[in-house]
Formats: sequence, C-alpha cells, structure tokens
Amino acid sequence: MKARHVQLIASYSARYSVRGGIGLVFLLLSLTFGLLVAHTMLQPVEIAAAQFAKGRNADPARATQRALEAITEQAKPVVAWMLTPSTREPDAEAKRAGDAWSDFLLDDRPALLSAIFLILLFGWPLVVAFGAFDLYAGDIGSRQLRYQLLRVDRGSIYFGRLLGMVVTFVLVLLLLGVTVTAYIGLKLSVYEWPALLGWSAYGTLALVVVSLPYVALCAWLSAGFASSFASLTIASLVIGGVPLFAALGGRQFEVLGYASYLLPWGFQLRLFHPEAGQVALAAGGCLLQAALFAWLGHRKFTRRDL
Amino acid sequence: MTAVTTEPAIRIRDLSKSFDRTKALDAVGFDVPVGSIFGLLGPNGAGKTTLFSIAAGFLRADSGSLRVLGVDIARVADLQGRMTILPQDASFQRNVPILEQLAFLRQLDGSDRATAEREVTEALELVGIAEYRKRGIHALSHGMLKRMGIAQAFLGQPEVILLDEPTSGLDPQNARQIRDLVRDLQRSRQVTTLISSHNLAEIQELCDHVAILDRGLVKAAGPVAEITRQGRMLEVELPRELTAAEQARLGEVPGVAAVEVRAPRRYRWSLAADGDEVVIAVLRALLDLGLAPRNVSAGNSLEEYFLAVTGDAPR
Repeated sequence: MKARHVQLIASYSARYSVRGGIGLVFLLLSLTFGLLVAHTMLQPVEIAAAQFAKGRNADPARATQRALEAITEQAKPVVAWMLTPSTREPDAEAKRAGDAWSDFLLDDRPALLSAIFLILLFGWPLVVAFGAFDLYAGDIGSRQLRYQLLRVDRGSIYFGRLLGMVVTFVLVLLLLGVTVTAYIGLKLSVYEWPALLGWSAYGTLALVVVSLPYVALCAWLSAGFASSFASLTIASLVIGGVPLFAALGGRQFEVLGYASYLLPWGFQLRLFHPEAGQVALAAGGCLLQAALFAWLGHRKFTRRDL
Repeated sequence: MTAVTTEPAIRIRDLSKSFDRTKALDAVGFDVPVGSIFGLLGPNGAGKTTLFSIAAGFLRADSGSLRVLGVDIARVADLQGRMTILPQDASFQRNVPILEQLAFLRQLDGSDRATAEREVTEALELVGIAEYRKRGIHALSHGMLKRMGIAQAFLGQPEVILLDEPTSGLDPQNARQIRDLVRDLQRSRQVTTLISSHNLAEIQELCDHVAILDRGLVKAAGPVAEITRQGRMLEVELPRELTAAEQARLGEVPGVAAVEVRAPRRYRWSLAADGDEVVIAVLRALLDLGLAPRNVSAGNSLEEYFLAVTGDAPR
C-alpha cells in the first residue's frame, strides 16, 4: 500500500463522489435531515419567543431567552429518560445520573445545539448507510475497478475510497454544523459566540467520530457484494436492525439488550457525557469498531474476485 | 523497456478455475515469448476472458501458476506500470470527463498531473477521440468507448499489454489502426501483446504465436507458422473454372489425395505427403494448363485449424 496512491484515490473519490446520482441523493438527504432536525428544535423556540414578545412587549432577545428556558425545563425529563442507560426499570442512582447528564447538556452547554446533536445521533447512522453503501459494490458489479487494479494494489484502492468517503462526511457535517450554528447565533442571539462555537465544534467532531464505525461497516458490507442495491439493503438492515433487535429483545431477555453494543448504538450518546472518562471510552469504542470493520472489509476486498 | 529475463513474458502452468460447478479453465499451460504478439483463440465460453482476468489479477485461480515478467500473479501489485490491460467487460465512470478519468489512471502510474494530461491527450489522439476528452462517456459510441479503453491500455511504457477483444465493435478502419498500433509497439519497444479475438484472419495476420482454448482446455499452442503448416493442404484461386477432365488430371499428380472445389474458381488439394515437391508439382501442372495460380496458400488457414480442433458446431 502506498500513501501516494491512497491520497490520490481519496481525493479523486471525494471530488467525484457527489457528482453521481447516489452522491447527490446522499448530499440532499444528509442536509435535509440535519436541517429538518435543527428546524424541529428551533421552530418551537421562535414561536414561543414571538408569543412572549407579543404579550409582554419584551425585547426579542429577552423573549427568546425566556422561551428557551421554559422549553428546556419541559424537555429535561425527556432528555434525562433518553440518557438513562437501562433496559429495565431504572434505579434511583441511574435516574440521578440521567438528570445530571441532562443538566449538563441543557444548562451548562447551549441547550438547542445539544438537543440537535442528540436527535442527529439517532438518525445519522442511517444517513451514513445511504452515503457509504456504494463504496465498492457498484464498481465491483460494473467492473470499473479493473482499470485501476493493474496500477495500484487493492489495499490502496480500499483505503483510498474509505478515506475519501470519510472526508466527504466530514465536509457534509462541517457544512451542517456551520449552517445551524450561524443560524442560532445570528437569528436567536441567546448564546455567547465562544460557547456556541466551542460546543458546535465539539458536537460536529463527535458526529464525525460516530460516523467512522458506520462508514467502515458499510465499507465491509459493500466490499462483499457486487450489487449496490444488495449493499444498501444489507447496510440499512444491519444499522437499523441492531438497535431495534436490542430494544425489543432487551424487553424479553436483558442480555439481548447488549446487542446494541455490536455497533456504536450502545455507547455513542456517551460522547456527550459530562465525564471525560466516559467520552474517552465512547470515542475509543467507536475507533475500535471502525478499525475492526475496516480490517474485515480490507480482508474481504483483497481476497475476492473483482 | 524490455525486462532482462530468461523467462517468457507470461508463463502459465496447470492453471485451473471453476465458477460453481463450471470448469472455466482446466490445467491450462503455455508460454508467451517476450516481444511476441500472441493470439488467444477460442469459441464463446472457452475461458479466454477468465484467463485474461486471472493474468490481470482480477480473479484468483483455484490452482496452478501464472507468472508475468517473472512475477507470480499473486503479487500483481509488483507489476504496476509494467503491464496494462483492455478488459472486455469493464466500464468507465459515467459522471467524470474522459480526460479526468484517464489522467487519474496515469497519475496512479506515477505521472504528475500536467504530464498525465499531456500523455492522455496524445493517447486519445492516437485512437482518434481527442476531441471528446472534456466530455463524459455518454458522448461516445460503442466503438469510441472501445477506443478509449485501448487508449488507457497504451498509456505509459508497459512491457506487456493484454487486449481482450480489442477490435470487436470497431469499423474496419479503426480495427486496422489498432492492429498497426500493436505492431508498432512490438517493433519499436518489443512490447509483448496477448490478444484475444474472434476474428481469425486478424489473428493470423497480426500474431506470431497462438493458443487455442476450448472448454477450458488448451487444444494447441505455438508459433502460427508451425500450427498452420500442420495441415497437408494447398489452396489456389484460378482465373477460370476447371473442366472435369482438367480436375481429374490434376488429381492424378503424384502425392495428391483429392481435389475439392471450395468456391467458384477456388480449389483445394489434399496432399498425401509433406514436402514442397508435391506443391511444386501441382503448381507446375496448373501452369501447363495455361492457368496462372492466384492467392496460393499452403497448409491450413488458422480458421481451418481452429475449426478442426474445436469442431464446427456453433456454441
């Protein structure tokens, strides 16, 4: 494997990945999903702020602040429930931990951004499946890779495309983060810019870290099929099916609930935990799974008929 | 640049490959000499494309060995830049300009961007589609796509080129141009070319060595001259048709087993023995009849030999 080849393939792949039909669909899907989530969070605040301002003749910034506080108070129990990690009836200790976590996200950090990131985390893995399912499968089927195979080793093709896809995801997430942050900062004016920018950068980085194992999983699956459709179907079923299986199975047998740890679903929320140790563990888990899936994909890609 | 090696350019030994229960290649073995233009012949489904695909590292053989320029094909990455291929059924990207696609491939070979673009433009000019270089492949016809594939196979300084059906779908002018290019590369740079084609006349004209594959087995392999000499035949075109008496007289020439009408004014003598003496005797008998022989061919044509070893029945 040569670094020059990996870099060339990554940049070519990133440059042209959104020019095809699938790339455009992914770009639109990810931006639509991200902005829809942001809109869902921001709209109630804007409506409530308008009502505050109308009824009390308050200035807009003050009205938005009041509306946000009111909505945050209402949202806290829901967020605390979301963050309580148990498939059984949570005990008092778990509830306290969940409350502390939600206080951190909604009081200590810009609450709107925290809410947007939390909801994005629940849907983003499925968006990843739509972006990365065709890393290799379509080109294996149409035998496009054959023009490259005598020019580079298979490892360079595999990791070059994987890297190009990660770069594409980083760019899309950056675009999303900048858009949402700019809107909150300019339109609502309720947070200090340093706090907003810092948390936005952290959240975007967390989403990038969460994306890595899912992209690597898609790479592994995509390397195993010669059909884009088969790859998309399997990737979606695996990414969506694991948490569903864990949630439903966990109700019957507690041990089945741990199936969510097969993918980052089981621990990805902890990237937004107040304790650095938990964040490090979650990030380590994501990177470890990314490495494992990438290795399995590489093994498949370098041994199969192309 | 020719590799300094005592080995043939391609050495194949006991190569086998199956797809499910179908044996595509069955203990295939032959050598492709350095600097030769080697034709690979076979009916549909004979295993030609499978063999090309294994030689290029696209497919893994079940058993046996294949070495290119002394390198085991399991380490195909070591042949980067030394071997190129025109795959039969590979496609190009739809949404990327032609120049971009080919320049990218050339960059992978090691060229910088500017050099890659210049080389690609030259290669596209060579195959006559340079004016389309900034457009996508949707602008190209089937024949132009084939020429684009050939242009990418000619990029760089390969020592071995694998061309799988390079002239299928091309008009006669373009097919001729491709044959000339292959010949020029052999003469100027001693490039070894392995070429598959259904056009037997083309292979006979272009290649100095051939192998005939049928149902995954090698039926024959060696220099074209040797293979075509194996038939004891003499075929001649005459200025007029022979009378029955003339035909009978020519059949009595010592060493002639039979005379057969192949087409109007075209006759074939089956010879009972090898050697130029019988051929000379037949030609002399024709001249005695006042007939000047035209388009004389001694031995089998490649097509006849091919049909003899693979059978006449369509697959």
